[in-house]
Amino acid sequence: MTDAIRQKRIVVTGGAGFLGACVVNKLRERGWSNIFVPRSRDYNLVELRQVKKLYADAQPHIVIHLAAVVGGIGANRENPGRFFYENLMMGVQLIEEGRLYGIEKLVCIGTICAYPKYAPVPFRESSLWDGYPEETNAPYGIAKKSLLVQLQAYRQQYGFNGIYLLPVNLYGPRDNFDPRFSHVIPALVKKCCDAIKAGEREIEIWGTGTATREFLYVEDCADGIALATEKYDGSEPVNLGAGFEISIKDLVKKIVALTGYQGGIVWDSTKPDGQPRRMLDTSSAERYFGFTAKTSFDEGLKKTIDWYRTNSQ
Amino acid sequence: MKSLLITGISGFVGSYLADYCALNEQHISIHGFDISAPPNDRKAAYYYHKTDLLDKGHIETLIQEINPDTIVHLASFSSVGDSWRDPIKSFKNNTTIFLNLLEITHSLKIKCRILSVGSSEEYGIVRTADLPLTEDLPLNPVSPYAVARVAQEQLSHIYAKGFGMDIVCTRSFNHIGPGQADKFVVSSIGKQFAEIKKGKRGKLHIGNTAIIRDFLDVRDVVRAYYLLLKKGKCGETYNICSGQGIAIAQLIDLYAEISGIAPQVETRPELLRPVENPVVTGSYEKLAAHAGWKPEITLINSLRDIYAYWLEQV
Repeated sequence: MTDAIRQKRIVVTGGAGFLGACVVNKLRERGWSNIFVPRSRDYNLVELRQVKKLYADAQPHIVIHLAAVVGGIGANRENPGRFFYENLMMGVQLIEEGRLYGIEKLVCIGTICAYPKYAPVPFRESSLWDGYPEETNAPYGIAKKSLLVQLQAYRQQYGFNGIYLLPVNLYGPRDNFDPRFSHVIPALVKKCCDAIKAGEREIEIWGTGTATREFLYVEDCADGIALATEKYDGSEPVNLGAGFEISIKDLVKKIVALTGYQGGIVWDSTKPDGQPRRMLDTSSAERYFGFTAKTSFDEGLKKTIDWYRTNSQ
Repeated sequence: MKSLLITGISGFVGSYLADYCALNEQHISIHGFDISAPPNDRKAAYYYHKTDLLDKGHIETLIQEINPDTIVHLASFSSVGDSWRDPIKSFKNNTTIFLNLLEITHSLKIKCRILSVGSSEEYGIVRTADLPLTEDLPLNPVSPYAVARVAQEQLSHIYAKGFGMDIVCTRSFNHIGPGQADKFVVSSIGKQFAEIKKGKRGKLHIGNTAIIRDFLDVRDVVRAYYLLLKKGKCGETYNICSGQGIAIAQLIDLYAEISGIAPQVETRPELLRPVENPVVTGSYEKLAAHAGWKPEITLINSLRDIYAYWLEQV
């Protein structure tokens, strides 16, 4: 059955991004040969006409919808309206037009920003609707979460096969290392590597380091998406995570050791820690399509650091 | 236990309780209220909400948002001595903050179990024949602090019976352990020993060394609270104690043994209290029967840890 599905024409929106490029590679490795990656300059998915054009041009059997308008805390604060509108419109139209076009399956990638601000840890899929998300990320999180409602309603009314996956924070080579946008791992890797290069003897880190996070290596996430595309046809949303949590303090220790940074660390405890804990319950992904993350955290970090060193010249 | 709220989380017991619950609960979100920020070196990661429990409006907003299924009320002005120095402030604070909590959870119809942490001070002056104290003895509080604690316990009963709220009460005896403020006697003596050992102090200053108290390690205390949240019976009150009495003079001897020094002791009048029980020991039989708890950390091990803590601090 999986061999037959790999002959299908597949569209990966956002397929040139940090995660998307890995998903496309993973699909190729698994024997998918008919992959189409629409670029945003050719297909602006916020425009209905261009969504229709995408279906007409690519004639897909399957769509993986990874495209998203995202940003760090600052960008989220400055563009809540745009993030809501564009993420919602891209998804809603892609799903509706996909239904009308008659595609066989749509894989939608959500975000952990959709979880309620105070969801018990680890986050279980059943908690998704138990409260309002953290306010800064809410417009983005709710826009993406609305697509889950759409897929479930379409399955009920039209028998449309849409699945919904929720990856935790990702990291890996080709991540965004620009300090204005970057997440904690690329930010720390850059700080340590740059401090070594510049001979600086001290780096400053926000918060107290007590907060804990879960990180999924980007290629493992791509694995999970490919597996779900081939094997999962359920209506329930499914978390994609690595199944461990690490405190920021311990994360810093690891990155310091792996980069060889010798200087001191200054913790600025007047700055916020963010959510105290963030970790997913990953049992559904294992149960439904046999997904567990394969890359050890040390190995993933090492590859990330190596990539940054080679590409930051 | 999915959403736990701890009032007074930045205090001595709060940190230990948050750590214990984080370790023992597989699916939980922990929130803490306090006026002061929690220590930076805390182990457990939790939501800290800077707030004053006297600020009813703010507390109401927060509780509505958090929607706790479990509340442990630790916040209080916890010093008996301070309640003599400023009875109005101590009494009003300790009764009002608890009433605010009850009123808010009741009016918002939040379904939660509340652990109302009280004090052995509620027993007040006790007869030797009644030792060790059991929960059914009449209460005879003798400080403003203790009267407020009795009020808190009685209010718990009223709200449990009258409104069907799920409230369990404790009468907690003296806690000890590393990290406790030095205004409490066992911590204070441990600190002074550490200072004397390091040559930073001459004599040991002390109040009444004849009094006998029941001291329990904070790590045993928080385990008891956790078990009461799971197994305690609504509307019941439980002693939290070691069951053993020890005189302050004996504690000093134990510290001398641990530290290897025998300092000069000086009794200071400002450390004596207006009214004081000669002996207080409790019985934890009810807690053992209902929740399967018994103390696990011996007194000498507690004192070793406290002394080691102060050696690092002073």
